[in-house]
Amino acid sequence: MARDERDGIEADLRRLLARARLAPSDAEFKNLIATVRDSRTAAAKLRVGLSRNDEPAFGLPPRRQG
Amino acid sequence: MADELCFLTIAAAGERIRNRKLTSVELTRAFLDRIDAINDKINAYLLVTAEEALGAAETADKDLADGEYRGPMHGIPFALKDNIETAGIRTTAQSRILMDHVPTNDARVVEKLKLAGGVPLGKLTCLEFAHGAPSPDQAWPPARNPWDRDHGFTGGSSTGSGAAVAAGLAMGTLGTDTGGSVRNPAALCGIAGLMPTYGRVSRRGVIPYSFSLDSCGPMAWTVEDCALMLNVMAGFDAADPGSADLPAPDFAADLGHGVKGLRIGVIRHFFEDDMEAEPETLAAIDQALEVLAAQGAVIEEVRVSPLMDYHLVKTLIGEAEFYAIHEQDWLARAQDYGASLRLRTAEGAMIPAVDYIQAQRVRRKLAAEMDALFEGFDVVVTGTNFRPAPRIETEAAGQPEPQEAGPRKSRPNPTEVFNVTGNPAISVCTGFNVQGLPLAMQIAGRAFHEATVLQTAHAFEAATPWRGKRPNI
Repeated sequence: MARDERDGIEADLRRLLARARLAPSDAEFKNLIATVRDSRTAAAKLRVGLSRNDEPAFGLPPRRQG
Repeated sequence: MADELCFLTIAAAGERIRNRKLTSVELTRAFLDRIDAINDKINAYLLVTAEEALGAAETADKDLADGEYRGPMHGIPFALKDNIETAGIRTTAQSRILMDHVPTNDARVVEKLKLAGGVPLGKLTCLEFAHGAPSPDQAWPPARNPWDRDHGFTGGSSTGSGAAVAAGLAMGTLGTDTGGSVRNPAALCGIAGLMPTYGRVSRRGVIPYSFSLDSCGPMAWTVEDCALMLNVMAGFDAADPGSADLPAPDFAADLGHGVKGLRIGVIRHFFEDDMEAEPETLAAIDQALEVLAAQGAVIEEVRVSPLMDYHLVKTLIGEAEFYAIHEQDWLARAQDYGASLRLRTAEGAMIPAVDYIQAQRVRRKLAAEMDALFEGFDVVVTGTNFRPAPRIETEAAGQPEPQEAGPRKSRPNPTEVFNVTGNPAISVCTGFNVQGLPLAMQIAGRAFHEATVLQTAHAFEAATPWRGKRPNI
């Protein structure tokens, strides 16, 4: 993950937590950043196999009612 | 005698009521007495609605006397996870955010169970908003596992729903399931718990966790009882945008048909390669497969995508949708969320729209892969979880400081697979470990083929002795 993106995550999280009036400890904040970075790295790996025409599944029943 | 009534199955009690050998009032009083005597050891109920229960039981008895029999749930006491709305009765989802929430209407499933003559005993505790972990700062204490009251976690998030059935505090309960919240507590509490196909049971009036992953399902001592409850719960509801407009069959009709000739795929890599189940859990699944094979099922090992793919898809979708639901409350009242969710909720806000959409795209591919698998198999068997009940202390959140540096631990679970694909899946008890804690396996089926799942699970249950053992409370 590029440094710009890492810095962006940290800044976004600080703004979000300030809006929610939460003040986590340094350790909690670091762990939250680590979790968000992990999630983004995992999402990047997950989408590798997708092709242009793979459509999303926003709720499953419609395709199964036909 | 009164306690013995609490250990009848729904099928057996329903038959006695229909034959006028037992009244609903008698049965309901037995449950209310037992709840009064031992709920403080289990913490399954956070609210007991005794007056309403006795009123419903009297009505059930009167209806029967007048010749109006409403079916196998007539006069049967059941209880509801507290994220399922009840008219005029506080519904909190075990959260301070909803401490004053008194719904105007019953959830659709509650309406249906009442119309079928069911007797609602009260509201059951759960993990806050059916998410997170047990938090010491929640409004009510966490449910205790009846098989190990001192230390055992019930599994979540339908904690009270699992504990109540195992402890004989309700004949059947309703749970909700977004990543395993019906099937995990069913497994750890040694009962049966079914997640129906996505869209089979209305979620109107169920407080959501994740719109595209949530289901509502029955939990009971036996597979047959789950089928009897599903018969009442299932059906199209135009007021639920995820509801499927399909007829609901009689889910109990095929229970006695056995498994001879049924093709069963075993997804072993979920619990042997992708994650490693404890030896006793693994051995119990192998023994269960031998039981099914001995009855004539054709068993074959199969492979699908790695468990982690399902887990990532479920986590991205679930956390993003959870934040979308909670954004307003969380920004205004974050301090009122329990320790387990207070900071974790922020994770959902940090998932970019593109990651959410990509997860939904991968989800469709995973669902298609599962559909293709079911072209060759009637059901698949895999683990429900990897081990019996852990200690509740190790599951609890809310320590003053995180115990370890690094990202929040996020554990894949075979139950999430079927939330992602939308297929029906049940957890059944496969025996007990050396400490006497229940073990389990999961049986999943084609979309809208709950009847085959129930048929397979019932055949296994009927051929094993595990329904004869109850926790000692």
